[in-house]
Amino acid sequence: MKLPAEYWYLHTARARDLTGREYWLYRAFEVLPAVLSYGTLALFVFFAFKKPVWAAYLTIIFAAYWFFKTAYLSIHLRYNFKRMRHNMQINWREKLHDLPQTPARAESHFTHMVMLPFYDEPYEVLEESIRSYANAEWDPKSIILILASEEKAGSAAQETAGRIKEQFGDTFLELYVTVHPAGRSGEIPGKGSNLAYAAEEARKNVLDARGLPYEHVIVSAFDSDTVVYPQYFACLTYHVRSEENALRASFQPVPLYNNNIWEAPMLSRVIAYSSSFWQMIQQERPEKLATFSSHAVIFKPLYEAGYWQRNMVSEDSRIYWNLFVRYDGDYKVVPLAFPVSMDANVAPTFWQTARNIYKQHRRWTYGVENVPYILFSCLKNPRIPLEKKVRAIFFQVEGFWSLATHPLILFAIGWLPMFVGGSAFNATVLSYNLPFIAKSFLTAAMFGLVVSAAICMYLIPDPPQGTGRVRKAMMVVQWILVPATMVIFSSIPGLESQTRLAIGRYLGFWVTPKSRETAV
Amino acid sequence: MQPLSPIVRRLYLALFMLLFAAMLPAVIFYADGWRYKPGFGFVRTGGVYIGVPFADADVSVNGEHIGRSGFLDRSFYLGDLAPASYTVRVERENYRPWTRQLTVEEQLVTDARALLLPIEITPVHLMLATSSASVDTETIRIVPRATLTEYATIFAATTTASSTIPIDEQEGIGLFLERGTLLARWIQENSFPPSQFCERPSSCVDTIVVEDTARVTAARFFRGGVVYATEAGEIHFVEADVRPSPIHMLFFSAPRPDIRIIDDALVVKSGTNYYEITL
Repeated sequence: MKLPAEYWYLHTARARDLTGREYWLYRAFEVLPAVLSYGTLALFVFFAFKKPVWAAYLTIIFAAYWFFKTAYLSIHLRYNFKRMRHNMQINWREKLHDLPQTPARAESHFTHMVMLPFYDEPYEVLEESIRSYANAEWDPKSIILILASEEKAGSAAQETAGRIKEQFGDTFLELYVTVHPAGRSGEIPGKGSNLAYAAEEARKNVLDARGLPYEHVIVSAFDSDTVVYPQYFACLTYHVRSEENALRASFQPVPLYNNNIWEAPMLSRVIAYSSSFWQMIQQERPEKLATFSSHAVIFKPLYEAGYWQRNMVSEDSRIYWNLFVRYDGDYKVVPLAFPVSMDANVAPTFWQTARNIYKQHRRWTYGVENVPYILFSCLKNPRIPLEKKVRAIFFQVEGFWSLATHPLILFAIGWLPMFVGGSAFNATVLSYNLPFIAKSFLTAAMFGLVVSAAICMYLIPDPPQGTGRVRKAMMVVQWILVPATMVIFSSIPGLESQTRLAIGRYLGFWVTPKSRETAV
Repeated sequence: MQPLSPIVRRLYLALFMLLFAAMLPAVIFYADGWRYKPGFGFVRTGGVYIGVPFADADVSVNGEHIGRSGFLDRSFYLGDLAPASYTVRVERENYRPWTRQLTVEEQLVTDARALLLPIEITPVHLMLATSSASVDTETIRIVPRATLTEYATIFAATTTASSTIPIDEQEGIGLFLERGTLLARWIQENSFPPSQFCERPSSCVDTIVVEDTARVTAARFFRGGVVYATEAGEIHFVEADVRPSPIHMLFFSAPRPDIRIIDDALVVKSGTNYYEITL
């Protein structure tokens, strides 16, 4: 579908897609997040040297703010945990019949289309994911599975697709394999371009061929390792049906990383659950929620927005902003408070795992590329209400700014006055009280981790047979790593992403390696 | 189960913002040393910081025991002190008690490093093996000839000292000899001197008169204090500190002594004899 002319900027990925004044405007917006983050850190360092008393006050204010923010967010996390636990106990198929005009056979109302893009992941990863769709409490004959492969991945990927087709070809309403051609102009290699290509192929060759109305097709865009819980499709259908205007909403499950959690090292587990917890918190703050990782949307708006962007990295969150702009701010994310399960990062060695986690988080924090997009689109689209513009801009800018700066200030730079403040500052009561007060707030804030550890223990699947007590105990102990992981895997990749965006060294898509232990 | 309602969320947000806004000024004032003292209302307090060189030393302030140093924990911070003068005392078995009169001022911390000296300090005479002395005793140590030759070379080397060039220097403090008077001077012009130069935290000098009654011939920093030799043949150890009451003790007497610090030990040369003092 050709986009309406007034939305000519809808798929802008970066400044170099534009020319003239618009180029410079977008470029300025690209630089803004880095200026804010580095400016904040530089200001702190400047104060630490020149006005250590001010820097000490700021550190105390930050520590207190952190404590209250953690307490506030913990309430959301705890509530979402309760809600998710509640939702997982519901029989959504039966509950569907509570809604008016639900036919006796709920499946007849909507068709689910699962988009499963993959690159070179082994057969076992895909097989586990697809089996979960087939075994879900939803008739697989009303599910279309689009297996979106990449030409660039070579013949091995096509062999994998062939094996999947052979095994599951008759299970679903249709299993359609697409092969995304390499080197298409206007695209960067990655999930977004693959998904967009597959969606258009599916539209022409599956939906149109079967005469399925676009507004009755619910698309679940998954990762290759996304495993669903049995009630996922019923829960999603319920939320779509009960939504007043489902054509103006995306639907977001909670990403858990449970598939291989018992194989993952401690570092990987902490990071995985921290990501899940952040998404759980956001589920209770839907006005701040954008789509992330695995998400769902009805095909019609997806088609009208031109699918996922083919020319950028963070296609999962960008599709929400595309739709937000395309429908002039009349678009939202509906939190499902229902999980899907994916893989935590596991590599053969600890250092490889750490490197993979870093790269994955760099990709996630590269979502900062949405900031210039939102700013630019808000300028270009006068139909978006001002309040929505302000809120969208503020939440995004503040989010990426705090992600990159707060952990560094709290756990590193904030303590600088004590070392560089000079003898005059070191002779003040303030310099002696600073570590005590800041530490007290941070320690109190860390009690939120107790909540996290307790929730984590409930969410993890049962351990495999033979799992030792030490390993089980480590599931609790692991949370002491949080301060370090916040700096190393949030702040630093966050700053790197913002730097890349600012200096125009744009990030390409990096496929997180996935594997399965297979019996010999 | 419905999502957390916007009203409840706003209430939580308002509550936490209120708590943050109410608590923050109190925390800032607390950090700055403000305390409530019954009968006096809100007063600005100061603090005392004591560094102790060894474990198992007892620290008291105005006669009140505040703690005992441990293997790792060898510093004590006592805050919430009203501006006044405080007597700090550090005691350890087999060591001389260390006492200091410290003035506490508003919002400032007065610090001091306790200097603990053993009660018994015995100079050891360094000798070559002879028929009458061939084994070490409490007061004699047999050393090879090479050691004494090396010491002779060290003592033969002279250092240039003047009113601008110190005879010894340590941590930004220079020792100067001016017409037989021994001075300790803070020589880092662009920074504040350490607390031993400050009668109280807000009033510091840049020079401490270490000795001005006896005529000093040589001086060196040694083990946190200053050791010096006089024309009268005495070796003294003293703390360079303007606050009452710095340690001052006579280590040793010998005719026309000269001193050097060699391998962390004080070596005294008197004529052709060498003596060593370790603490």
